[in-house]
Amino acid sequence: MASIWVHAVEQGFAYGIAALGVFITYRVLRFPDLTVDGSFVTGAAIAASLLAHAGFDPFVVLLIAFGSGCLAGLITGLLNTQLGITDLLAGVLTMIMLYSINLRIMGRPNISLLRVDTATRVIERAVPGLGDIAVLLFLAAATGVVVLLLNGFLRTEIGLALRAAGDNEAMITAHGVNPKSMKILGLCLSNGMVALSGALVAQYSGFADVGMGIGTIVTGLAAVIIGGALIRSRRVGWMTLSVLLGSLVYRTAVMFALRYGHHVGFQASDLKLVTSLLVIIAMVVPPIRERLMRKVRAC
Amino acid sequence: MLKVEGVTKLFVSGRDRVTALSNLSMELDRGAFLTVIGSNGAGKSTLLNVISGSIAPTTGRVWIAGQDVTSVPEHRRARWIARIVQDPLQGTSPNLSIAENLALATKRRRRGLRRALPRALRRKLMEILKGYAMGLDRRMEDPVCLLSGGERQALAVTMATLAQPHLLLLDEHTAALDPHNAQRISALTQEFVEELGLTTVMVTHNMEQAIEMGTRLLMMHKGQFVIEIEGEAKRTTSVAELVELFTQRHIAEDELLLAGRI
Repeated sequence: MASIWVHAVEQGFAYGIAALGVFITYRVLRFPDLTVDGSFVTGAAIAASLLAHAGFDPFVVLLIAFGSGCLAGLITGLLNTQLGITDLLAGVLTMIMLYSINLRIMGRPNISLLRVDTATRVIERAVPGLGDIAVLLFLAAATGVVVLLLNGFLRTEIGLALRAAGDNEAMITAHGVNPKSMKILGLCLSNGMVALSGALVAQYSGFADVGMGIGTIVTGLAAVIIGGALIRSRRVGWMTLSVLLGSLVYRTAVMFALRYGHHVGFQASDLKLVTSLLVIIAMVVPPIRERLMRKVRAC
Repeated sequence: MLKVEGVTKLFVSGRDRVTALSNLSMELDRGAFLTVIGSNGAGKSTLLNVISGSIAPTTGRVWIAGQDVTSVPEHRRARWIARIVQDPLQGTSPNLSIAENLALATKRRRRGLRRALPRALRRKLMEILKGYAMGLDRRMEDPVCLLSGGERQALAVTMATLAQPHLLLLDEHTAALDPHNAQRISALTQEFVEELGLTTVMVTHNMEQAIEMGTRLLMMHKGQFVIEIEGEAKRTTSVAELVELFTQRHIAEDELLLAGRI
């Protein structure tokens, strides 16, 4: 019984990295990037192929997956900044291209990792007796490292320029930053993290599937929005922490819904519908509440 | 310091053509302060846009500090140029703190993976803000969107001067403010310009401001310079005199045009 909540937290961490990727594009860059639905699978596909067919080290494939995601982000970035394709369409185009590419990488629609030494299995073996908790600690540590690196990066000169580029493009240009470079950089970083998350999830759940990325953008947004409602801050450290917290809350809620939802007539397949509706409500409620309460607009 | 040579800018939309700048040339020495006046559509803002690089001239060249920068993109010209625009919202980054905005402005060239706001820089920026009274130094961590228009413009002026640019472009930068704040921002700008010896081009609607500030005055009309005054003559002129001068020239010019057509 307790173990399903452990699983929820584990997933909260593993998917949390993808949510942080969505945070970079949606919140920091203000670029609604749909590439993530494809790059999440690319990360998983590369990890699964290299593990199952080429016998790669399960930790090394995480880095390779990150690199592949960066490439996917680069494509979207170039489509948008160099060819002038609008942000949404650029993301959709890359996402669709990735669908074919992901199938090419895997050679078939899914790869099982049941008989492969995945990162989570290596950890379980390395720390015997802890079982699930060892995996939980590993995923928490991995996500923690990503959060710390991201915090550090967003506080550098380039990171600050990236944040300002999403905030005021004209101003940043006048201060010597090429906003196009910042967009490309942000998209690379974001999709790299999403792919890393995909690789982690594939190893954790023991398979990669070409359809596993559907709705990554929505679940990422759900985490970003839930987190933003729980912790309101403009400081880098608090913002990234809020996204992680949002992911944990979201995954726990999903686990709850999957376990008890059937009492009110829900099926597991309703999940994406419900998630999207929740995101819509979460996006619509704040402005309405503001109007009703005549609150001073918190800028 | 600044040279504009035979610059023409055409805006074409379908069959309509507008000549915003018409074979315009001018030169500005280091440390000079030029004010440019003219009515709406005279081409003042287009001139600043061509200098800053946010639009490319149809023909002609722009030189800054001895270099031909005509094909240098806007973000690279930032190493020489600082610009303040009319809308206070445009000059600052609303979701970043005052300190972060200032830190962003201290660097105009290569940015790296060094910390953007080390403690020493934070302290230095606070000292700089202290000199300018508005109390912004006590609100270093506040997001800029909490500031008033006047405060935001004061911040934008401070930011513009932080990287010690060669050339300062002011695009009606007090026009959106109330008289009191406009006065304060003008004074602040003057202070910076004198302190740092900046070469400045200021575009304004306000004739009084154009006479009051700067060492040289150009009046624009239909994409061309029609009147130039400097030195003693500029100091002693009045709004009425300028208007008179403009009306004379303007009419004369229209007559010439008519004569030419006949």
